[in-house]
Amino acid sequence: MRRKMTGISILLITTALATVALADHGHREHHGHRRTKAAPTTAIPAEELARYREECGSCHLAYPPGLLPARSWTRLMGGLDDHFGQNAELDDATRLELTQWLEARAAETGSHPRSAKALRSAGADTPLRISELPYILRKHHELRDEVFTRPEVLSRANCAACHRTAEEWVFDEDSARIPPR
Amino acid sequence: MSSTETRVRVWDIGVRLFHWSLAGLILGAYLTAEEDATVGLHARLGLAVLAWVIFRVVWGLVGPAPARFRTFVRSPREVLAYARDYVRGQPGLHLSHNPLGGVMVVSLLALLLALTGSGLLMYLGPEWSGPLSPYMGRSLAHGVEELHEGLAGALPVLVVLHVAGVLLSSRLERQNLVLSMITGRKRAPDATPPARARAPAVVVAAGLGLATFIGLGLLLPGRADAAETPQALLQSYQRQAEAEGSGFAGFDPARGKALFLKETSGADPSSCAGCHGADPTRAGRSPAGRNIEPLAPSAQPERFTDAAKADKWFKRNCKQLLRRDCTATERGDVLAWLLTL
Ligand code: HEC
Ligand code: HEC
Ligand code: HEC
Repeated sequence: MRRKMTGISILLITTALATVALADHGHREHHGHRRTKAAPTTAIPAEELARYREECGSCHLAYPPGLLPARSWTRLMGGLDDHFGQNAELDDATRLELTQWLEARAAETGSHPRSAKALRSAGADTPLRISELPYILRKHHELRDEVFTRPEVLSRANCAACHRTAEEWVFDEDSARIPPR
Repeated sequence: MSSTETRVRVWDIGVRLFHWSLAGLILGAYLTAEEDATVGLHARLGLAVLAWVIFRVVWGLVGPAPARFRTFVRSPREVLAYARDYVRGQPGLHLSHNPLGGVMVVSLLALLLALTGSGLLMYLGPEWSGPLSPYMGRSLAHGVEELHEGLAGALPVLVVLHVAGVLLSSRLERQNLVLSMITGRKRAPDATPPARARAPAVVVAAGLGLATFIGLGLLLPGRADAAETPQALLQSYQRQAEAEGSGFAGFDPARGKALFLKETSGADPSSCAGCHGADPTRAGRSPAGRNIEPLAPSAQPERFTDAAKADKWFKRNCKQLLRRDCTATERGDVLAWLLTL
């Protein structure tokens, strides 16, 4: 009896251990692919996204890497000490790591549903702004320049002021709202 | 199982306690590994595992004969020969671990040593703002973390093999090896002199005491509780300011406030207040239109709880406005002022 009990409890412990380990593994494996259809951000491991937001999301939206070509990210990351007039410098290790991270998810990789259009729109240039891609400008043709200077907006680069789902990298008409004058 | 056979005491109390504590601790460590709320406990359980593993290694060198590596670590040829007998279903009896078991024990110990060692490095490194942080670059820290996670994935595989081996051997040897690890007794191979395997009580007690002491984290209080505070950061600025020399005479909140509000012509925004607002207990706004949480710790408790973050922003923002990094004295002045708000 006692023997059986010990045998069974050992089996239980083992099963538990194995389940925890396997479940954990599965969790990590599938995390990135679960709901790709929903928002492009869900395709990024949570830790990586959090880190990107920590380093590049304090002053503005942590922009989707998939809306600029890799060469744009390379150049942008090479000039962080004068980043659109701001000092956004990083220590070398972080900068290199983030540069690679951005390049690996640039428009060429199709990481965003609008990557292909953004890439074509960039043509042979090395644009540093998503807001000034001809494709993005065209999408806002119907908006007067004035709306982009409203106090809540300030700038064309402030996607999140109008696109309530910008943080999830979802930009569509339905979730866009123009703040009052 | 005949009742006339000889059963001898093989596993001393040290080995047995080691075995079952380890099983429990490892299970606990796996259950607490993922959640932020429990990683502090995870780290301590891991340290307890490390302490036990060290104990077992020492025990394998100086402990009673059946516990010693010399007794159960066999040459590859012997291991192979044993494996062949095993597959045929006729393994011989071994008083200590059988040759395959010996391989498993050594593998488990080595894996656990690497697993807990890498965990300890994480604990002492930047991940936990530990004392080794200045010496570990981000890529090294990252590598250690990857190693730790990889090993953690491999351990359950070994454990499953280990348990499977024990169950199978129990069948083949017609004795309950799990029970042996509890009672310490095993069937003796024919013609074995009944080995005395009593451990010197003092050594066991010392080993256990040490293991528990280190393990339960009396030496290393949970880092999570000891998170950085603005006050601690201020003290570190003070040490730096004193090291910078030239008559440091304490921080001055008024000087900090003046620096914060000082206008720099030609810069846009033209002062710290241009982004953070003149009242740091309220939110500010970046030039790109994003809200900036209040800087004053009284309004945003997470402020200045991460020295690296504070240093990064001081450096950037000072360069932006003053065209140079701020000194430790200036940082301390600003922080001292923010702490008065
Ligand atoms: C210190 C503040 C700050 C930080 C930190 C910062 N940026 Fe910026 N960034 C700006 C400002 C200011 C602009 C210009 C916004 C505007 O024109 O309204 C900008 C613009 C951009 C743009 C162009 C937006 C557009 O489409 O017009 C990109 C892309 C960008 N940043 C990427 C990054 C990345 C990547 C990081 C992280 C390495 C980063 N930024 C960190 C301040 C910052
Ligand atoms: C002033 C508010 C505002 C800002 C700032 C803004 N958008 Fe928009 N955006 C809109 C509105 C409104 C629409 C819908 C336009 C229409 O239907 O004509 C829109 C449409 C779009 C579309 C097309 C959506 C669709 O369903 O086809 C994209 C893509 C887009 N925006 C991306 C961006 C990005 C990226 C940024 C930041 C770089 C940005 N927007 C900044 C208001 C804004
Ligand atoms: C161009 C806009 C801008 C200016 C000017 C500016 N800051 Fe900042 N500062 C920021 C942003 C954005 C953050 C990041 C906020 C966050 O992480 O929530 C920040 C963060 C900080 C932090 C980090 C706080 C923490 O959580 O550890 C400190 C300290 C700081 N600023 C001090 C200053 C000082 C001192 C000045 C003037 C020399 C200044 N800032 C000027 C935009 C600015």
